[in-house]
Amino acid sequence: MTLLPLIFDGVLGFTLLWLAWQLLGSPDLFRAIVLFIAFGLLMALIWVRLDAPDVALAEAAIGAGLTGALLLAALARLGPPSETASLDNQGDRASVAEGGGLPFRRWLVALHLVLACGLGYAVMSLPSAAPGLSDAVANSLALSGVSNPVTAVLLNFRAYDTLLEMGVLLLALLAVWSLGSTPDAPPDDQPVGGVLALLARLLTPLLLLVAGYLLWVGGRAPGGAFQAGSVLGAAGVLLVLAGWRLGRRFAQLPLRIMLVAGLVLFMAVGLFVMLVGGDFLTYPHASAGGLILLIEAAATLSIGMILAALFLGIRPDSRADQ
Amino acid sequence: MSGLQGHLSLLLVVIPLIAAPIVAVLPRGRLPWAGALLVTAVCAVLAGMQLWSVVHDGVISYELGGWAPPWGIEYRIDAVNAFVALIVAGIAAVTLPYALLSVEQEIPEEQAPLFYASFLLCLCGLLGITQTGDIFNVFVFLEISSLSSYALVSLGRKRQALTSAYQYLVMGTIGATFFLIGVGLIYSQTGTLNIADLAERLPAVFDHKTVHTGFAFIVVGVALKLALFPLHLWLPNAYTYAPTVVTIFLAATATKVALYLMLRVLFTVFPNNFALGTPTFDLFVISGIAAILIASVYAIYQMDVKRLLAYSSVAQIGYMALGIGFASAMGVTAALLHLFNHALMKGALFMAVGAIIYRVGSCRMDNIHGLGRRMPWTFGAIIIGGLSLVGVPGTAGFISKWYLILAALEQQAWISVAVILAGSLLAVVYVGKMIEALYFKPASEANQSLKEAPLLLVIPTWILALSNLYFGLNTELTVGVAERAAEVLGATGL
Repeated sequence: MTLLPLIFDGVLGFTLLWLAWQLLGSPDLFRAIVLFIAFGLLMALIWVRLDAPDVALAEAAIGAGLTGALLLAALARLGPPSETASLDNQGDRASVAEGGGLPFRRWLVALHLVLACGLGYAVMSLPSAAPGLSDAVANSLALSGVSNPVTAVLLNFRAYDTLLEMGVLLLALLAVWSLGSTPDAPPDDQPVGGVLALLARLLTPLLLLVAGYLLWVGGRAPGGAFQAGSVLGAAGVLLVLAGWRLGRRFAQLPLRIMLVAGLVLFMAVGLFVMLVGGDFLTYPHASAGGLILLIEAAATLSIGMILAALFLGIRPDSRADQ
Repeated sequence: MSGLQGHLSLLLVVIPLIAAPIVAVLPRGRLPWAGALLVTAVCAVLAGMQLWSVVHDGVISYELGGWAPPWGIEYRIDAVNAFVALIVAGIAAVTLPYALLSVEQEIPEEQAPLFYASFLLCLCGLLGITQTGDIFNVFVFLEISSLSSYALVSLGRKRQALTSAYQYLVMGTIGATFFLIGVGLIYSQTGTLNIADLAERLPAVFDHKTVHTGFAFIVVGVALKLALFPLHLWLPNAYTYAPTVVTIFLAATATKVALYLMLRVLFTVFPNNFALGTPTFDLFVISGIAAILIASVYAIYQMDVKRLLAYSSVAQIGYMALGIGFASAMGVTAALLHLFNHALMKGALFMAVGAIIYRVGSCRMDNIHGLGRRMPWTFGAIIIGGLSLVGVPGTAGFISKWYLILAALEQQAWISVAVILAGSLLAVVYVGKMIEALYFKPASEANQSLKEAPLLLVIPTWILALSNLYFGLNTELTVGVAERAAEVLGATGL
């Protein structure tokens, strides 16, 4: 009975390593990205096996889905491969490696192997029953306003970290926008095929529904703002691909407000409770559940908008042709 | 806790954080700058109040979300954090008035609100690292400060700014990942993320391999952020191609905060001289010596003044590494002193160079001939900053080198003494090279008609230049705080 899960895990682990090796060695960028997406999905499966469904959801949605979409979008903007790149495509991997300095690469691989062995050794010698804060969390769960321990940690016990992560996400968008105008992806200006438009029309309401469900269920079961936000972001990406753009009226201030709403509302709640007499982010126990849902709702909206905006890549208000 | 006083430490971090999105949505023009200026001024005042409060009333502890540590996040402020936070906030407050003209010239107008928003987030991240008493929270702030640094560097005018930012991003991300792996390993051994709690629980498992591995990962990760030789490769390009204001701010604060974090890890997180049982301190001495000698020689051969100063920064970080490497109270005091003094001298020097860039548009050696006569105030600041860099008595640089030599003599580390002196001689050469180009070379046709930089650039430059002199003569404040900070870190028991 215990053998089967072990074999399953073993196959999962080795496939993951094999995929990683393949994608690192792939001279063809498109193939590497596809492998990367497969890698992310497999990783999500492994998180499920490790009893971390929340992480699995995030990995599948952001790690595999959105990052993959971003990489594909970047590849599309790079244009057709140059001559050297196509030469690489024809040659086998060994000749490519030789072109890039074989001794250096070998040295690098050896270094990584040493690092991986050292890390593996350290992890193997961990105590089987790791001491942790799970008991402390379980004991205070009743006070947190939610019954999903992950949400309790993210939105209450360590809400400050999550607040800062909202800042990180916004910062990522600021950074992309700071890079200035990127050349627009060619498909943007072309009429979109019927299938894609139909798919977008069908899937978008469904994705909105799923996002709402994930947001709502987050208080009790795996889900929450980051998962819901990434589903919302996926809907946004689909719409962007289908050629849909925010109207001029919304591309300015309303968009910016939606982008910062999550962070600002989170902080506003944190500061507001200080007026009642607590420390920053100290929710009154009675209203904790409601406040968490409010924060998560705003965060979902902002995360979705930020992810979609990252995919678009340029500031919507800088598009002169709209 | 009640009133403003109780929330002081929190507000110091939260004000820039909330101001950043607001600044980002402000219309173009001078409004974003004014907003950022106000925030940095408030932060500097708050940081000053915090240091005063810590020195007089002792450690401040602030529980975020009202959850007690270890599972809640705690801010824990002692003399060390308060000191570093004041440096960061103070430098930001001096940099912002300078930023107005420099940013108007170097950054497209539509990007300016984003620039100031990123700047405030960077400030928030750096202050957060110093304030927090939770090691995972440190990582989150590290992410904020690093991401904003990459964004800020990429805004430089030349195309190389993009590749420099990318290089910085790759190296910085490796550093952050190492830090996170290390934190994960020590969490799995102790079940806590609170630094004070870790310090209590870690000694029981010190023999364990996992703890040693975690320690190694954390130290290497922070060393990358610190640009500790030979992990400094991102620094020269990032400092050279970043916008002037960003170079000033990052050179004076970012590596300093990383150094603070390193001290915390070496002495507080892993207490009871854990690090003495590892080769860490020897490596610091070797790395410090190599940095001082090699980076200084590199500095001499640079043709771009910003790049010259960037290599000099790598060398100066070497002095701090050497101070830590002595593993003594005196050594740590010297490292902390140099942390402060180097922020003053590099701040002043990069500001003065920025004033030249403002007028000339470049700071290549052959473009700045004879400018010393045309821009006497800027030139004066470069002389003061340069003398401080060399360590001439009467300047702040002398004080930290003096303590560093005392620390070396204490352990009869003659090689280190020789290296510190040789480093100063090499500094004479590269500072001399700048002065030669600025003053003794005849000015070119184009440079004949140049005027002194605007007051808005000269005044902040001189504030920092004069503080180099002030803290070179009045050492009571800096040495007192640094000694106290070394004591708090537990370095006295070494």
